[in-house]
Amino acid sequence: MTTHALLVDPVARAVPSDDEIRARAVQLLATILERDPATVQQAHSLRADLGMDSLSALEFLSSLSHEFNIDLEVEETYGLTTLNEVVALVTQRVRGSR
Amino acid sequence: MNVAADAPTDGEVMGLLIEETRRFLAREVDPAAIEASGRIPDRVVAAAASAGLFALTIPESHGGLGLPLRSAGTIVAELARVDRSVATMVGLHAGLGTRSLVVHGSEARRARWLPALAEGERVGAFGATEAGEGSDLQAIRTIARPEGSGLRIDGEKSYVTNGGFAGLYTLLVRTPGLGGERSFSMVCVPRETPGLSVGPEEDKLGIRASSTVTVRLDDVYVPSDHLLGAPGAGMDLAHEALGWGRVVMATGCTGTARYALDATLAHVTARRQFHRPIGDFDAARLQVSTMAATLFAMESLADRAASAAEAGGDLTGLSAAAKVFCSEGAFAICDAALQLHGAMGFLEQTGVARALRDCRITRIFEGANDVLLVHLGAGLLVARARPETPTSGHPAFDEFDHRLARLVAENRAEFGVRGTQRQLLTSRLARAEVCALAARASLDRAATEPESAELAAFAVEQLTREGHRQLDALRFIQEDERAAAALSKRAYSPWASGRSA
Ligand SMILES: Cc1cc2nc3c(=O)[nH]c(=O)nc-3n(C[C@H](O)[C@H](O)[C@H](O)COP(=O)(O)OP(=O)(O)OC[C@H]3O[C@@H](n4cnc5c(N)ncnc54)[C@H](O)[C@@H]3O)c2cc1C
Repeated sequence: MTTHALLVDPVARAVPSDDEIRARAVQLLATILERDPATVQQAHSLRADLGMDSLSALEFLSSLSHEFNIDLEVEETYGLTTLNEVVALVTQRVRGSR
Repeated sequence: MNVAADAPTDGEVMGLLIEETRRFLAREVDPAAIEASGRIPDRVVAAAASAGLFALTIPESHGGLGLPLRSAGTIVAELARVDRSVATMVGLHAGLGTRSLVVHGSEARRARWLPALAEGERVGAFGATEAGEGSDLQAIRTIARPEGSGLRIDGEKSYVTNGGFAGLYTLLVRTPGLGGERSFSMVCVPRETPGLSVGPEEDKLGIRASSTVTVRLDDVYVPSDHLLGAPGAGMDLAHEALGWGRVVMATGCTGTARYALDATLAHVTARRQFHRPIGDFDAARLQVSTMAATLFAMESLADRAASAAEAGGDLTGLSAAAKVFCSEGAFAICDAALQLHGAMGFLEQTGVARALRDCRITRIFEGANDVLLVHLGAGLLVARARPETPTSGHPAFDEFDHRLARLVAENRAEFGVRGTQRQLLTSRLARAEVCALAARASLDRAATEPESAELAAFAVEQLTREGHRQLDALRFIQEDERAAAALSKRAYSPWASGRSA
């Protein structure tokens, strides 16, 4: 049964808090960009401030989708420009609302 | 329109230039001797300059010929038929070496440098790669810090083509002081700038006479107008220049392949075994036909990419596809040529061995093909819409093209953004896309070139088959991913190769 894993896996069941989502997103981003997480700000633009190109942005979104076990559709990632917007999308998806 | 009677048409200019190029090659270029000497003699560089070969893409307003990329590519292909080192020198200069200055340089700098570049007084070079950072350009370390009214640059660029004798280096550098910690910019550094030094020539498998050196920048200071484009726009400029450069390289590959095919046609009709020309055997005929069809498709795709470059717009996907297809095609054609030449091909005197060596690098530089393919595939998966192309009227091709579009859509729906990180998915889709683009370009060319109809039909047939093969292989992705993960885990462990831990 597919629900079996959910029942026994506490990690998958625990719903992270907003702060936790934000912190984990920053950590992932910092790893991809090889920089100190303390220097990453929520309001940072992925492109202008963080120097990400479309490929590193895809890598980031994809690792978020793994990390939080959520599906991110291609269409809903269009137009994301800041870390804030990315975190908002991920939070929304983790909470199960669209 | 009232054109002055003595103004030559573009076609006439090209006709003259091709003649001039052939004269230059016949008089000055002995590829075996140049290769053996390990460098392009000064006399050859000077003769190339006199023939106008450094002026191809420099605007007429600045002393150049102002040729469209297509025409410049034709000349580079002509050079590559004879000597790939010379073709690389000219192609790099016309592409990466000068493109960003032409498009983004300040007027004062363009006026200062472009005429000298057109004359070949200064040859252009481009430096993005560093010893530790090749495919991952975002990780480069060479840094330029604002200081006074200029920039102070420190770092080292590796494998700089033309670097040994270049007069102007266009470099991708980090500029954290100009718009964000991770900002990059492109900057020109003239050869004579204090602190710029070049290392010894690298010893290489092929294009052995092409200059490849490390360029060091120690405390180099340049005025701020040496920056190209907007501060912080360096990565965009680099990608734009690479798009342009890859088209030049793709056309160069068609020249090498043309040489190998011509040599093979001469050989298989002259060489007899078992009482007949080896070209009369079915297996040899198929090989030669495949070579010719591949070359036809290469030329068609390179030409399409060059026209698209001229038209402006985003060239990323098409230039990568042309570069991958033409570099692999040229290598395959040279390899088949060598095989059909038998021992003669393996020996140096036919020149086929040199062509094979020389074109190997094109699968690596200006973006390793493996990396370009995974990026191309990721691009397909996230594209807002696949560009609408009308049906071609070729039923087998249209069926394949629809299948490809359908599978892109299905995988996108199934995997979302995660799909972009699955390299077996992205690279197989990309290979199918490359086949589709090459087949489409071949069909369109055949429509205007009736004499090529048969060759085009064979090319499209082969490409469609190969494209389907790539799409069929999508079914095995999970299996292959799992096997590769398991086997590589073993293979990378110390015991696998008999080393002790
Ligand atoms: C003769 C010569 C001339 C050159 N001229 C220039 C020049 O003028 N200017 C310049 O800037 N550079 C130049 N280069 C550098 C060239 O562009 C780089 O070698 C090329 O971009 C690949 O980088 P790399 O060698 O560091 O390979 P790496 O980045 O170390 O990659 C090695 C291999 O690893 C695999 N790989 C790497 N990343 C990935 C990935 N993400 N996914 C899957 N597979 C991957 C690929 O198979 C790749 O071929 C030149 C190189 C040579 C040999």
